Amino acid sequence: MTISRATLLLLLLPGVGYLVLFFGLPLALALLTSLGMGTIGTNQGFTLSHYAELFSNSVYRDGISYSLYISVVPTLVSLAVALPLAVTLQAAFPGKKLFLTLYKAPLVVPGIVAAFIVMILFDRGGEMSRILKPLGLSLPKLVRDDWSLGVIIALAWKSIPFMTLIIGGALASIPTDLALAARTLGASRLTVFWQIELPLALPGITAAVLLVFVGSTGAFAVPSLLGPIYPKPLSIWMYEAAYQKNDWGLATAMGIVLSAIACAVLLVYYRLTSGLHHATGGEVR
Amino acid sequence: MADAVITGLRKTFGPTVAVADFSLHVAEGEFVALLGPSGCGKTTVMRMIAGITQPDRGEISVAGQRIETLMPERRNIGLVFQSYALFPHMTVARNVAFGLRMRGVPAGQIAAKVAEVLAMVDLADHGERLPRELSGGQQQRVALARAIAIEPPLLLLDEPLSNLDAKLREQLRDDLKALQRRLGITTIHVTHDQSEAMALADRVVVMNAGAIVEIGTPRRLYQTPQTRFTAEFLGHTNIIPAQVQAGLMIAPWGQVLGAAPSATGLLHLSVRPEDLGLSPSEDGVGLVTEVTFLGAEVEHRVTVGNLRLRARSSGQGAAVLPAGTKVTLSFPADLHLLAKSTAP
Repeated sequence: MTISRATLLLLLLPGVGYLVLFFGLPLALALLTSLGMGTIGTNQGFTLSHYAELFSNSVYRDGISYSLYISVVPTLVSLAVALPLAVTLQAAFPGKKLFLTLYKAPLVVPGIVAAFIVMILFDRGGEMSRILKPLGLSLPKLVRDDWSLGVIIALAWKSIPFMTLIIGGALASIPTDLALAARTLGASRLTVFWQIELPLALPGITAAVLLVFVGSTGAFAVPSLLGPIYPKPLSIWMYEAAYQKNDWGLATAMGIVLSAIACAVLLVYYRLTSGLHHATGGEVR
Repeated sequence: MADAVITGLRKTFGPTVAVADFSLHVAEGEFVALLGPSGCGKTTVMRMIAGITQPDRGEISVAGQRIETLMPERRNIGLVFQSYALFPHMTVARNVAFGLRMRGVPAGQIAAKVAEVLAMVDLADHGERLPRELSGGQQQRVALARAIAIEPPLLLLDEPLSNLDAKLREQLRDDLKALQRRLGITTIHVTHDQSEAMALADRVVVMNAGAIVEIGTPRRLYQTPQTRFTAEFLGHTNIIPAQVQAGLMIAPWGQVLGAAPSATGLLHLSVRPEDLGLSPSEDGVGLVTEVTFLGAEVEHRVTVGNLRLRARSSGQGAAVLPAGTKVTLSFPADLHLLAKSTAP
């Protein structure tokens, strides 16, 4: 039986229609607005001026770099903590059940609350300084500091449980016999990790890295509360352009650039994992 | 001498005794099967030899060297898993080379050895495939090749054939035996399949509830089992209680079975179904309750008093007696008595 073209389109309508209506359409409208042909704000006719301003103004260029900085660094910090944590959690230890419940707490804490927690703990005169003061120790500047350490702490704190969960799942799905077989063939525990477990968990690890990276790219609450006065991430400039300057063309151009960065990372991810799929045979049991 | 000596091995998991005082000597080049029902401790014994499970006490020596305290990677023992445990992200050749790479063998020698063992298992041209591209039987052979590539003094096989279908299992069983003979590698094979154990092993170690029940050649264990457990676990058997009276063994239904040995009182006989003869007779003590045609054989279920017996006959002349036929029973001249703990 062959399905007629019309039937096929009708069958595709709910899924594809949903994507077009709620994802494609807003993105297309944003793109049009950023090119001066928007329905929001003034319609100037086709222009690249918003993009020109975005890339020529050093304030916005710094914004792009800063947005990348607060995406890359927290992602790397999270990975550095989550990977060993996920490996540790594969083993049995007393109190594991309690720990498994507690470590996921940051998952349900909104970003803005996380930012306030970091502020209360690490700001000058915060809880940590009070605890450390009698010991004669003092904290470096962690809130609104030049290196955005507070932003990194808050974003990483949010992402670590999420990453641990995904990487832990990937590690747990590797049959234990593989590690045991490698051991009997002469591999040490560390070699088993590098040569067997890590390659087999890599699809899970890259997925976790990607999701955390994209999540941090658009972070707004955390850098606005804990970040330095300058530079600011693109997400904040976007808000200012739209709501304070009523420049929707510029704001949407920034949104398009942020989306493009996320898409580029996604493409790199697909390239990497399809390469890996080729190497691992496309399927990891 | 690449023999294996296991002395007083014991392992408990909480209150459960998995293995109690297990001792065994496997001679160089010998093929020994650990046979028993699931949960009898045979896999635990194997895992303790491989170093995956730590024994509570006991000694394990391979080729004269004590290994029970060594890490698994230092033991140099080949292990074939029931699941094969092939590394899915490595080609067949890389899988087979893994143990050699861990030993720091030069690349040229590794390539030669990999080619050699893959040829042994008839997979010479499959080196560049991935495990998932192979059939179950081929994966099993890769697992075997990977284990023997390191030339271990002792090879452990954990139910290596149980994931294969019946025909392929027989084929691989024969291949496995031929390869083991050719390499002369000392082998311990864990299985719950009595026909597999009998077909492969020089000696079978029958295990139950964490302990060795009996050790012997397949023939000896089948024909003259010392215990009821062995008699019943290796194939089917009829256990017949007999009273000794005036130097004769008398069956519960009064039939004289033969001359009694010096013992008196109650004895237990093990009569294999193929040794039990049936002949239809109006005044027979037995009643045929069920007939099953099995192709090569015909099986009759016979009730005598409260005993239920099984008789099998084979060949073209095998009579098929319908249910309800009264039969007399005949026994072989050479009756086998169970020696130990034969209480039902």
